[in-house]
Amino acid sequence: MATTPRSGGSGSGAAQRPNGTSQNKSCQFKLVLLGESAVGKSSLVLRFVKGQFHEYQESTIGAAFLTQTICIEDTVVKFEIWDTAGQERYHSLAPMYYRGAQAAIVVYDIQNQDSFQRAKSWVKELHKQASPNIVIALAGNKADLSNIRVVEFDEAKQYAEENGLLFMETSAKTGMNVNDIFLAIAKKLPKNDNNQGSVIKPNGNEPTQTTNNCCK
Amino acid sequence: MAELKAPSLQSLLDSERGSTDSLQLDLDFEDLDDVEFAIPPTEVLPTLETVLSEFEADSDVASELGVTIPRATPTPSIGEECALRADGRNGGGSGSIMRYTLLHGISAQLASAADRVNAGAASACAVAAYIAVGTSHGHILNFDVTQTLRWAHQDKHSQGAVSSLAFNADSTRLLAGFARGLVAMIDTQSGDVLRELFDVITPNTGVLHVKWTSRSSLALCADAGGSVWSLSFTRKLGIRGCTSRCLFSGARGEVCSVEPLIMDVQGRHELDQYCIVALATLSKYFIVTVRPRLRVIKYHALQGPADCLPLLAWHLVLIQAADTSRSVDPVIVVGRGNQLFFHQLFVANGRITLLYLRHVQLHSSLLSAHWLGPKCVASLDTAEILHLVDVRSSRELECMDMANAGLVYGSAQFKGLATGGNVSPAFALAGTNACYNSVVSRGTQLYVLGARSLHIIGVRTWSERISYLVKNHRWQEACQLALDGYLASTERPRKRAQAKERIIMLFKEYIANSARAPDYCLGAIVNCLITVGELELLWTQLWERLHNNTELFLQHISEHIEQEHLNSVNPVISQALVDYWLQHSPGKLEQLILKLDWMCLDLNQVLKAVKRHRLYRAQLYLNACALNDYTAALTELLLELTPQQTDLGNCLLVYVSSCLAGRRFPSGDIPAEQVQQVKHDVLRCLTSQHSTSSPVDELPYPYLRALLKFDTRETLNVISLAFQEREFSNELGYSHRKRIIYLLLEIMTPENATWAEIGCLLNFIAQQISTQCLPWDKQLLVRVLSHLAQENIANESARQHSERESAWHELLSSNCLVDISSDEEQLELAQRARCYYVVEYLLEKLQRYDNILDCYINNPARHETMFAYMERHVNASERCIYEQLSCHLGELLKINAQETTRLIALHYPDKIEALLEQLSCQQPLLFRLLQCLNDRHNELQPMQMELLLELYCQLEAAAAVLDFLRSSNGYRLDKAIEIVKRHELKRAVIYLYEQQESYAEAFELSMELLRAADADAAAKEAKQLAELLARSAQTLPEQQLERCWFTLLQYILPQQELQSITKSMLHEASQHIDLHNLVQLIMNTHNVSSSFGDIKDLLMSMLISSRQETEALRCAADVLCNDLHAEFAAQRLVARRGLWVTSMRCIICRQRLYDQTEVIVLGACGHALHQRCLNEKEAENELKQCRRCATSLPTQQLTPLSFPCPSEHRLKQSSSRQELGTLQLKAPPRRFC
Repeated sequence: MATTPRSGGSGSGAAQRPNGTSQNKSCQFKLVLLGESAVGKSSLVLRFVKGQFHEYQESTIGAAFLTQTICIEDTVVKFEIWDTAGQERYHSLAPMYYRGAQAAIVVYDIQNQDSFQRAKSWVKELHKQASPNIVIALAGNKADLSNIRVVEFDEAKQYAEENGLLFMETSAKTGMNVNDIFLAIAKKLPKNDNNQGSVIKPNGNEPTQTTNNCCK
Repeated sequence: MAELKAPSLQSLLDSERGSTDSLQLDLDFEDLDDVEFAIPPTEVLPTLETVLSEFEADSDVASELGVTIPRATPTPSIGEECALRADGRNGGGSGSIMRYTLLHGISAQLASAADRVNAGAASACAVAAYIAVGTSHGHILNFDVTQTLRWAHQDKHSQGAVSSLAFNADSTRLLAGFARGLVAMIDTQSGDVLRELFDVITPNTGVLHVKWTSRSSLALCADAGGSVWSLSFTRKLGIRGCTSRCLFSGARGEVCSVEPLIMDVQGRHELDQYCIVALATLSKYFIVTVRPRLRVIKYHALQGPADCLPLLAWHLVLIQAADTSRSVDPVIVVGRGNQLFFHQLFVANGRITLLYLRHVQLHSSLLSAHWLGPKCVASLDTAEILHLVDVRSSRELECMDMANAGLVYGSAQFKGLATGGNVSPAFALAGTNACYNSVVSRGTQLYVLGARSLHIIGVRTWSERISYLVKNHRWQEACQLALDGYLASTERPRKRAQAKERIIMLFKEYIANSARAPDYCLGAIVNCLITVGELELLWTQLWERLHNNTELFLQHISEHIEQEHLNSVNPVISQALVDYWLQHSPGKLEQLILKLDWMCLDLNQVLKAVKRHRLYRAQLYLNACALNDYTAALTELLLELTPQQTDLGNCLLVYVSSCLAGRRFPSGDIPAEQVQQVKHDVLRCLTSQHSTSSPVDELPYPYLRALLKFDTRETLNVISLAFQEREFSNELGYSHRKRIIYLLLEIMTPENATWAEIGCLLNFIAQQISTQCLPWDKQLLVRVLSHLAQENIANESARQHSERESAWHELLSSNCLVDISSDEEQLELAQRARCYYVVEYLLEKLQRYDNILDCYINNPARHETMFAYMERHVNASERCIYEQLSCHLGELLKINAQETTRLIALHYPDKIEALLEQLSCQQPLLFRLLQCLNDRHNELQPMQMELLLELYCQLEAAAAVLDFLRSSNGYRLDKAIEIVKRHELKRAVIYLYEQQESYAEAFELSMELLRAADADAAAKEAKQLAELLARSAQTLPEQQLERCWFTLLQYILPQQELQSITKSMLHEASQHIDLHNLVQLIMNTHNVSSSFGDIKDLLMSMLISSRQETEALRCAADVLCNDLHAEFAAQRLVARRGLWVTSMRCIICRQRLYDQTEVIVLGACGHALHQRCLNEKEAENELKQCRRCATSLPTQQLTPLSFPCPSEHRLKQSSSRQELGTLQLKAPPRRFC
């Protein structure tokens, strides 16, 4: 839990300021979280976006929307995160979120073999239905409980390699690898400016934006 | 015997260094399959194989020829019988690779020759353009390819059995070797004997092998003596002659096998100029060139069991090296035991080189190894089972039991039975299983000679195998095999086309054959056709034949559609499919429709069906794709939607979302030219004020309302996703957004929606505003803010609250609220609404840090972040971290005492005192803080430790106090005792007393406890007391210890309820106190309830220990006496020894010694001195060494004798003390007078 979102945000502001008016490259990506219920999708996002962790996280209804901005090299990457509900009755809604998403994180629980199987079927569905150049990451969550793990690291790693996925074992509780997996995704995403729809539209009120940065 | 001189081969061998195949290449065998490479037939005439393989069609050739078959022929189904034993490589193809044929004509001739002319059993054979068979009585029968006997030759010289036969390259000459040493050359046309060579090999041995080499006039011959001879045939002036030369003498290693390399490829090869031969002895094998000169190329050791012969076979193989260069080179397979080694022979840099390729291990010992084509090696094992091994994969393809063939063995020749048996025992043993001359190969066929029969094993090609399987109606396997072949030919278009043709042919055969059972193995055939893409055949020929049995067919087709091998079917089939699945599983039908191209569907039929069965996904898909109407189905379904229909609702949401994003449902994209129109239509449809039917009581915006009613949150998500599209990001788009939002507000009035739903909406709007995607509208903002700032919302979940907070936060951070209210007002509102995240943000913004910790403390979700915040800003004075910390110390300790303590100990170590002071009236918190500090191993002052102890005593249970005392040590003992005593925690006091080594007090206190305790506790208490006493044994004076024990026992013994532990107590006590007294005690106190049982053990042990002690005493006395005696004897010996004085003067005073005073002689050096000359000091200390020469005096005279008493403390009481006390004997230096 090195950085809270705030400091991350102000960091990006600080990076922008010396350049004055000439803005850094900035991209916007839609990212969707998928996985069985109770594997820790919401916790993962909450840890990434707010740096928080709740031992008893309520189960998500439908999908929750969150954003977070990170800086890599000279690019400001804004993630629009759709945290979908894992319960079976919401499964049929998922296409709404992942079609058109540039990245997806498929989460499973390392203590639960079924959730890993479910993750595999999500990956399959993504390969079939989502946009062909979607970046998929596989996250084995609850790595802080690795002494009672059921899904072996090597097994998942091998599966990820076979299917061309990014793979990390994460822990929303300790924060292990949480920022890293989002960073890895950001690095893998194409960041050319003429990428349709992924660039922030230049909006009219630039001055307010700058004052906004100063206030931080 | 021409030129029988020792050849130079041996010396060549010795000089050649052993080969090391360190070179490792990844080599890949490629076959030179004629079919595959479309190589035209090399011979114009039909080859023997082609002719022979025709026999297979009708196995009655023999009967046609009019020859009776003497014995029952082996059934042609041998292959099938042993198919069970095959390794099952491609499960379908097993048993179909090897083709077995019995040559009836030849077998009949052999039988009749044996019966009529006493030719004996067959003993050797050779196959080329003719087939020659030699018999054990010296007859040779030569057959042509039609199995007609061309001539027979009978040996007139009684040379015994024909042991070996060989045709030359053009099949004009036949060489025959005999068991008694004759080598004969016969013209194959006429049967005339051209040469008869009696003396070309070692005398008195038989011929084992005759072989032609690649040179037309050069042959090789191996004899039973193990020598190899080269026979060069000459014809000088019309006179036929022959020179024989010994290549390899049997005296230096017996050659068992000879295999010349015959290159029969078209085109030239670099190795053509050499005449190369492989030889194998029982221990190694060689590759040598015979022409142009004799040279050893390479030799290798060849290990194996003693009764196994080495096996050699050459074949030309297309080899693809790792660097993709291809070459056709000879490959030799060398076998011994159950191993097969493959080596490639090639020319590199002008030198012939042998390169190791691979190694195959089989399960049983091998009799023969022959190439059958360039891909496979056939090996017969000792159980006469033929194994076909694929070289590339090193796997066994198939095996066949050849036991019925009655294989002929050449062991008689190897044992030299015809020549008197003068062969080496090793050779004879190894030759037991020799069948070099009865198993021969030609091309892809293997000939196996039985005593009266000849058998052919052929290898079927892919196409032949399919035909064979088809003939046996093994369709499943045939299809699998055909498909394997088709898939394997991916990179070769030509072969692929051939394979496809073959599959179509297979299909036709299937059609022709399966009239009776049309759905037999249908799946395999369907799979074949779909894979090769011959769909028309599937829809027409196959479909038409099925009549009414279409169920299986449809199921197979559906499976392929589901796996996406097919996306379009014939309309006829599609109708049948729809009908079929409507009956059986409409759900599956929907799956199929979604995967099929709509063009092949009967839309009328399908659309009606999906409507009837409520397959709304299919309905949406068909309406959109086929009818190009994106709204009709939507409006229809939306009106039916109720909140309970999760699936339909979700489906509609996804559909709307897809359409608004320009995507086709369920997959793919809407054609670019339609996208605008579709988006527009769908949006207009959603926002239309009334439905098409428009009933009277309809509320406005029925469609949007239905969606919102179904799931507000998701509907808003759909809209927010849609807002990210390009259409909504220009001026017009913003006004669209505005309109939609007002629409939403209009629909979601408190009468029609719950507060949670409206909350969702307002959060959504707040988000929209904060991203500056909505036109400026103060009224809207005020409305939103009033929601966000509500003080109390009924049933608000934590999640909703946090969403409210973050929406507010978004608004604030994007500066949207500047114009409505000031930050101060906002702060006020947020505090009232308990939105601490917002409060924190505002305080941060206003730089009012002094109360920022309140926000964290009040917001349980951010407690963790709080400590990180304090840690981060601990050095920033304006943040007033310490002030806030000390102000909220209590709350912080309650939230997370450890973190708080860590922070204090790390950053404010000097303020600990003050903080403790501050907490002095809040004992639990003070206690918590001290406890955490102590846990962190902070050095606490003794005062503080005692304070902590005090608090422990007050707040915690006695056990915890004891634990604390045990685990920490910073306190002063006397103070601690004082505190603990005050709180009357006796056990802790006892512990502390013990620490202080005041055992007596500890004991007294424990006794008190014991007296107070009830029965169960007393036992435990007593045990603890016993342990305490045991620990104190080291420090407590003996008397006192004993007294303690007595006190304890005196209490315990009379207690009825403590009887269970009496025994163990007594036992324990007996180790520390005197047994006599113990018994005394028991006698005195036990009058209450004396049972002998309790003290029996005690008395017994007393008796035993008394006996042991007596024994020990006796032993000790014995030893003592012995020692004393030995000592005395030694002293006596010394005393009786004479003394020699070397100098006449005293070493001190230098006066004469013998002046009638006492003289001391100093041992070995012979120096002496006057007694009086010793000064007092020295006299006191006793002389240790001679002063003069520093020789030490013999010491034993001066050593006091002492020895230890056994068990001192027992003996103290005993009367034998006088006898056994320290006994000192002192023998002074001897004095002379």
